[in-house]
Amino acid sequence: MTTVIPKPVAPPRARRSRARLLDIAIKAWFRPSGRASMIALAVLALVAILAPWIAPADPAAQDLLGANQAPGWAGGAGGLLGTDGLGRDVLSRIIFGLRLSLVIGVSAATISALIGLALGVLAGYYEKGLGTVLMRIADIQFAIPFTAVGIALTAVLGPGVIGLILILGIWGWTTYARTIVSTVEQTRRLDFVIAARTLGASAPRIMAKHITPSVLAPVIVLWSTSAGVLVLAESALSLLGLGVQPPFFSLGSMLADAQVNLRLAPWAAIAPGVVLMGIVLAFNTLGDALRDSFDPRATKVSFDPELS
Amino acid sequence: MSAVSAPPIIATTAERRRTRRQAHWIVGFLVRRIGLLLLVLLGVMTFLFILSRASGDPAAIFSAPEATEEQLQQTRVRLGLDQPVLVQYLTTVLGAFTLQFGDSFAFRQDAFSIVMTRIGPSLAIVVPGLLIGAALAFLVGIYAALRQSKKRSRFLMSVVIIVDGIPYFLLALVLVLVFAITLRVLPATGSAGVENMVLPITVLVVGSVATLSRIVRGQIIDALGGEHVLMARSKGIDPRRVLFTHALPTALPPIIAFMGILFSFMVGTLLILEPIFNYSGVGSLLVRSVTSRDFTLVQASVFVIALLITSVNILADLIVRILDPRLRSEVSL
Repeated sequence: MTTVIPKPVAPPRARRSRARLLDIAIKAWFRPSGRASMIALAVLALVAILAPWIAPADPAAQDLLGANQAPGWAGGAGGLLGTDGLGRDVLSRIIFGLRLSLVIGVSAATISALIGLALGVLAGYYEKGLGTVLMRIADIQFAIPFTAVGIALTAVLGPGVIGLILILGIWGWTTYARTIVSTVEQTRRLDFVIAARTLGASAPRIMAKHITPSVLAPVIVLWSTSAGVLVLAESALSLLGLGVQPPFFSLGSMLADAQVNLRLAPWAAIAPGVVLMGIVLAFNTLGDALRDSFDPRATKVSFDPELS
Repeated sequence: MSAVSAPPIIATTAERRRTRRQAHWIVGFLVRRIGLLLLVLLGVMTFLFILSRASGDPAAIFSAPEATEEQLQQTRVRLGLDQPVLVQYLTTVLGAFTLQFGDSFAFRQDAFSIVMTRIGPSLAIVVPGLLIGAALAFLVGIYAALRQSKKRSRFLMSVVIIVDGIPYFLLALVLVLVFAITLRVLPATGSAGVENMVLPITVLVVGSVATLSRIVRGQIIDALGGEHVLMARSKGIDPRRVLFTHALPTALPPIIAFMGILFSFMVGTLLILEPIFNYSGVGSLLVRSVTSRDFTLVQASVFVIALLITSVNILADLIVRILDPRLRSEVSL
């Protein structure tokens, strides 16, 4: 006798969380501030990618006779944004400098988001043991100014783009972990998590499948604001001469170069600074718009005090 | 008659019990937080020790390049580097907790006393920066909260958001350019007197107004939506009185907690700002000692900075708990 074992109907794959994330992005797009910041970031990224075709001059070409020339519109002979102390075209250098600034900021933010998400979920799930240890480490990190660590680590590791990304990325996890740990602690007490555990789901599976989706939205918002903060942190380190080293350059190291010639060529400092400000504003505004879309009631702090 | 006189007696016993409980929570809070502070300082020193040992042989750094092996060995003995690593670690940590960091390699003076002479000038720009910034942020934030729909208030908040996006070091450079180079009214560098402090303080004030006024606005809006404010308004209390005696106390605790965080942020920015203004505070000292690998000085200044940041945040959290009794019973730190 053959009993027909009813085949369990495959449940529709849970796409709720992904749909919700997409929903947040769409809602942010329909806010004026969200749309403006998304377009601004897209333009900046496009300029950085297409730099060799857009830049009017070779960013590294020195022309000591044409050094410190004022911008063309101000009566000088230095092209659209003037030339710096070594006679290099400021506009071209900004267009190329955007590349490293954006790459460092975005990849460091992504690294810290991934580390922060993983450690935050672990800290919330293993609340008593691992969680306490991780949160104490976060307290220790909070007491040390990041700039000091950045300087010290670049002095130890030697300056370099990869090292810089790793330092910025690894140090930034605490913001994410602090933000999500209480949500994780609450979520793991909810019925659906208990049900999953009763059905025999392993701890890694519960954390990945059931808890992570509930904290993904704040992580994405934080990613946006912290990308801006990290672009700034890179610039600050470069300003001290410890970030990006020649022959590479970012907006921050342009500021460092221009600081010496501030009196003769103020445009060489102000122009990259304004672009830097634009990047930070765009990331901040995007973060605000994303947060308003997923939780209009939240009035959480939108900047990262630990990465100064 | 006894029925009439009874309530005050109950009130006084209740009051006495409350004051006793209050003393209790403050003691408990401080014990917990100071214990945590010690743990943080231990962690900071461990981190710095690993960092200093990971960056090469200190004896080689502090000897002339042509030094013989014998001279290097002498330097090692002088710096205590011939001891086992564990002994070195324990000496460093115990030394830190008794404020004996040893002599600075570069200055040949006690590192802790060098840091103490530099911390004053740094606080002289951070504290005014934070306080003036907070005062202005309250004005801006409360105004913007009260006139949410007015065009002027919206304009004000857009300005605040844009100012918040200005990198503080760019602002520093622009201020130097305008006031020190073009107008020549203030000195660009140095740390001789009050006129040297104006520009750094301005940078810190602008930054703190921009971030803090958004927080103030949000908290005041939240507080004005509370039921106790509606109640007070419906009783006919003067709106201004409602704002200052009903809404503001509710809004204040998160703002003060955030000011504690802002203080840490500002101390971090000093590391960039002081070198720009050539201001001799603890920030420029730390940058200099890190780049010249003067480890005793690095350890002393980071230790003092960590102590300062953590203590200010303990103070902020204490004020928050005094203002908001609901948070006192919270076990979480």
